[in-house]
Amino acid sequence: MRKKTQVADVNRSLYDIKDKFEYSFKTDGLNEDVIREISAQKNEPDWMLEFRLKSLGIYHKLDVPPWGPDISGLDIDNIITYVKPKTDLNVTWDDVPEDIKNTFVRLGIPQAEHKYLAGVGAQYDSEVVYHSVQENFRKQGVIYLDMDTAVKEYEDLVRKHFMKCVPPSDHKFAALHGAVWSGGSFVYVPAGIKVEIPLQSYFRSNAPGAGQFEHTLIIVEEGASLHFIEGCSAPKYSVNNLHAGCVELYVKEGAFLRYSTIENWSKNMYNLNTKRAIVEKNGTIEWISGSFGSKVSMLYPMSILKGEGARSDYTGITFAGEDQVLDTGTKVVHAAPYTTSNINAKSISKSGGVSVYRGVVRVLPNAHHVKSSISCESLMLDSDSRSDTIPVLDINNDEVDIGHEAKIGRISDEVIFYLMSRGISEEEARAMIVRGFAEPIAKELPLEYAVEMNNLIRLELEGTIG
Amino acid sequence: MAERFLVIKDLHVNVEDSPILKGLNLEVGRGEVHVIMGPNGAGKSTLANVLLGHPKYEVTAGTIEFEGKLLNDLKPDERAKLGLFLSFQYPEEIPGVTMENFLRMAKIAQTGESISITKFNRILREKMDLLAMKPEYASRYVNDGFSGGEKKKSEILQMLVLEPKLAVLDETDSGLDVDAVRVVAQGVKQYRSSENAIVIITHHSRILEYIQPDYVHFLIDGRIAKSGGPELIAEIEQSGFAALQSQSGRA
Amino acid sequence: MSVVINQPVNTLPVLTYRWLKLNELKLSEPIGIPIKPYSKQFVANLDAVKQMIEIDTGPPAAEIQVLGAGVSSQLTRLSQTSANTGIQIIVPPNTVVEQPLEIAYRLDADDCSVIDNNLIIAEADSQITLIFDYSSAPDAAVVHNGLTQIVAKSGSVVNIVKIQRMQDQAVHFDAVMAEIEPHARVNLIQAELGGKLAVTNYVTNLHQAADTKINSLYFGDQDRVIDVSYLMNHIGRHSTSQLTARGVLKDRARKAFKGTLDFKKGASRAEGSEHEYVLLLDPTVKSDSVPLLLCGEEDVKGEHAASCGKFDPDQLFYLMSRGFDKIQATKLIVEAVFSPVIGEIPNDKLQTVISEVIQRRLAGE
Repeated sequence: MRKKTQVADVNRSLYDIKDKFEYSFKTDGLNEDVIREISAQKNEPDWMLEFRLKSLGIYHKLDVPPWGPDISGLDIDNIITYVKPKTDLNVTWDDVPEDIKNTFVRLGIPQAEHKYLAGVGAQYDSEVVYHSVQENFRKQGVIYLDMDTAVKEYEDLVRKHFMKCVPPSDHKFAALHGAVWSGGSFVYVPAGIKVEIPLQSYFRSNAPGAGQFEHTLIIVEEGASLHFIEGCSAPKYSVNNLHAGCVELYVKEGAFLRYSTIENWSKNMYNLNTKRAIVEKNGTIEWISGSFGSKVSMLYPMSILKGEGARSDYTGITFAGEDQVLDTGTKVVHAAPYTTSNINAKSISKSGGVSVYRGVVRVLPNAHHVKSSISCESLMLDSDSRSDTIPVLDINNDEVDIGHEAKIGRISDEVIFYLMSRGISEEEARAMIVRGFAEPIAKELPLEYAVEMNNLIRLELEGTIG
Repeated sequence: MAERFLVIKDLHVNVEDSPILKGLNLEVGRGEVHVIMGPNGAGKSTLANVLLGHPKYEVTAGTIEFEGKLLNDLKPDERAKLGLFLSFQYPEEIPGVTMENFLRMAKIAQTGESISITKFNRILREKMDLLAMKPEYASRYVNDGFSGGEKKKSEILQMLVLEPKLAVLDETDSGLDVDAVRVVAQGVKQYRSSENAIVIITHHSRILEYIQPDYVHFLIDGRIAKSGGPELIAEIEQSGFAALQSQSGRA
Repeated sequence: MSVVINQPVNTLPVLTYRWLKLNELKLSEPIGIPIKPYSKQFVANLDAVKQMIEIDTGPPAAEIQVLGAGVSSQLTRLSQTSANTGIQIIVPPNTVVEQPLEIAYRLDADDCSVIDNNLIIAEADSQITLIFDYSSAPDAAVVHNGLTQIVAKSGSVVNIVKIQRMQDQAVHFDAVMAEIEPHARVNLIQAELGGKLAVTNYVTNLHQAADTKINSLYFGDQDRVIDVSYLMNHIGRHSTSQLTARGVLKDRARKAFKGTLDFKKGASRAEGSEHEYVLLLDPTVKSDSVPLLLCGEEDVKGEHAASCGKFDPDQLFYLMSRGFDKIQATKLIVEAVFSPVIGEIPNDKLQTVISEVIQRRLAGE
């Protein structure tokens, strides 16, 4: 059975916003008044307002990174246009771009139009799921809330962790996030609790900017475990085309957290997202990351292996098509002895798309007996596209075992012939090979996500091969 | 021959502009097993690949007909759908695609009829048993990380599942130990019937200890230099290809 | 007269995260390079080859277009405008010069700077080998800044050997730029063994069916800083490149390896590979690697592999069980790492010299 929660990911701020904001404009328009307004709307504690204002100060000091994809299409001098909710928008199904409509239909999401317009169906579904999940969790002491609520209900816990893992000073868009964040998920798993079913990010609050600057904070206590799934494969469409979310994960001693994302933002989106995990002794973070959508992505989930024996696994696939620049990868800091990292990154470029693997493995001087294995594989489907691999190994200890492999190439004619000789058409043969290429990701996903990812690949390939 | 099954006439084939097959003629009838032997570089693998329409092999002259249909301009998948099968000398590895998925898709593509996973898997297991293949191979990726012997078994498994009308076995017995040759031969025997035909390409005669061919051909320098019955195998074992080569050179 | 070098060196072809501080190497302090004539004879066997080729000592009279910034645009400019030595060679078509041309610079208190500007033009189907050997007197604070430009015309083969074995006070900057025309080959063998700071930069444009092979070794001990950069621009169809770098780091040595394969659109059937193997001998070393694969063409094969670590304790145990002590065993293993590169140097005497330098340093002498 297909879960109907996908539609929940359509950004509700497009049509659900009821409050009209008045802003006074200065420089880029983002000023203290705006921040105070956002905070007041949420009825937040004072420390959060102060935090927002401090972040705003940092935001104005930092520059845009000189490296990476061109983001000059973002109107950074008028950032308020991304922050300010578009209250004047009256979105109807007709306003939704054709390609997104098609994808809805072809992904088989039933009566997408109906639900999109009603704006309640999916919400309703997720409410139902939410309540049953919630009841079950409460017995175990698991907290699962939307972030805005958590700030109020679990103030101490949030205050202790909020943007401590990703400080606003990290980069300009982290600072922006600190200033204007809204919505997101908060999960707390008490020591020793193993959450058996994957938890999915159902929350989409009506708060302005939610889904655009959402904050995810997950704390998995000692010996606990969790699989969290963010987003889904249905396209998210937003006319506010900047996404600067932030994900902070705290994996305590002996804990396990798998964080999966299949991201399919609409193709006008600048996806400048920051994700980071701090992993304590013998803890494990697993990143499963599929990037399909957005115009530009800069996304490098980072693991700080802080305790002895901590481990990070990254499995990522990036599929860049026409007019897309998807700059993705992972960063691992081995900050303690006996830590391990595995990186398995794959990318596909077609129809002029640009995919970039960018990553780093850093071993700090005290971190002996570190093991790291890095594999990057890139597939070029045509010569209008680009594929760049930009890895860094930064090793500051000799007791290490580091291996790195990167390969770039095309689908071999011999493999195509082999499949065709078994009666499979050329188009299907290529699709089969590409799906096989993506299989290491698919097999790590719950079935319905894996199926949808394969559908996405099929859709991406259709009409470009033959 | 009353029925025209496979007919190759005056076939000339170039690989990267150099001629490999230089006027090859061959007829294979339904129910027959043909063996093609020859030294390295004679064009044996070229013949196998050109039968399935490998794009690298360019037919410059001549015709290949199968059941009265001209194959020359058909794509590999179209030929497979007509009932041709090639057991590759070096089977490709396809990471991420499981054997069972791949074979089921191939079967559906060839028959045009859908088949349920359960039903298909039952057939698959049956054939795997026959080849002494462990069930877990079904969920492994196609040839990925298979040993040389496992790859060849995987080819024969595919043949048994896809049930082609004409199977071309390109050096299927090479690189195998005695036990594996026996198992592979077992599979081939299982497949052999009066309804289909087999072309075995090999450069030694080991597999022929298990499978009795109807016809034996020597392929030398792009042409069939000599054809006859199974008695030719003994001849090659005694005198080797060198003698034949010089004979054909004189001729 | 002297110039002051202060610009960062070896900037990456594409930038990445700033916090790593690897996009370029900032000099820890400005470096003054005295500009005065170099007094010694530096071509060992000029007579043996001068009949076969056109050769002039001294910097080239005219400039040719540089392929890139080199180590830095400031340093490249310095060699172009203020060189105190150099060599210019034109190898006539179809001429095969068997004997390697040996160019040796010895820096000391009197000759405290070498700023060389070399131009090597190999005409169609010619062949030549050049060995550059840079050494210095103990305790002399000396600087070398070099620019070597190569134009390998169709079907030619140019072999360049660069040995740097200067003493601990020396600074070494060296840029090699090669335009490799169709079916030509340029082979570079490079050994970075000395100096307190060694920065080298190799850039090449590979045209149709052009090939370059790079065999690089570096040995860093004490407080040495090594920054080596290679950029292979695959422009033409069927162009090929292979880079193998082998390094050993000891004490507090720091190394950055930057290797880039850049497949330009149109370079179909190009193949490039990079391999780096680093042996780490002490916990205080720093080893950075930035292997870039840039690709704008579908029909190419590019690969990179790197491994980095201590040597295998089992291997060490095995050797020690055969009676080697730890230093001897280490020497043996390091020799095994380097021998494929050293063995390629077409000069027995230099092979011995290099082996000795490494063995001495390993023993901490």
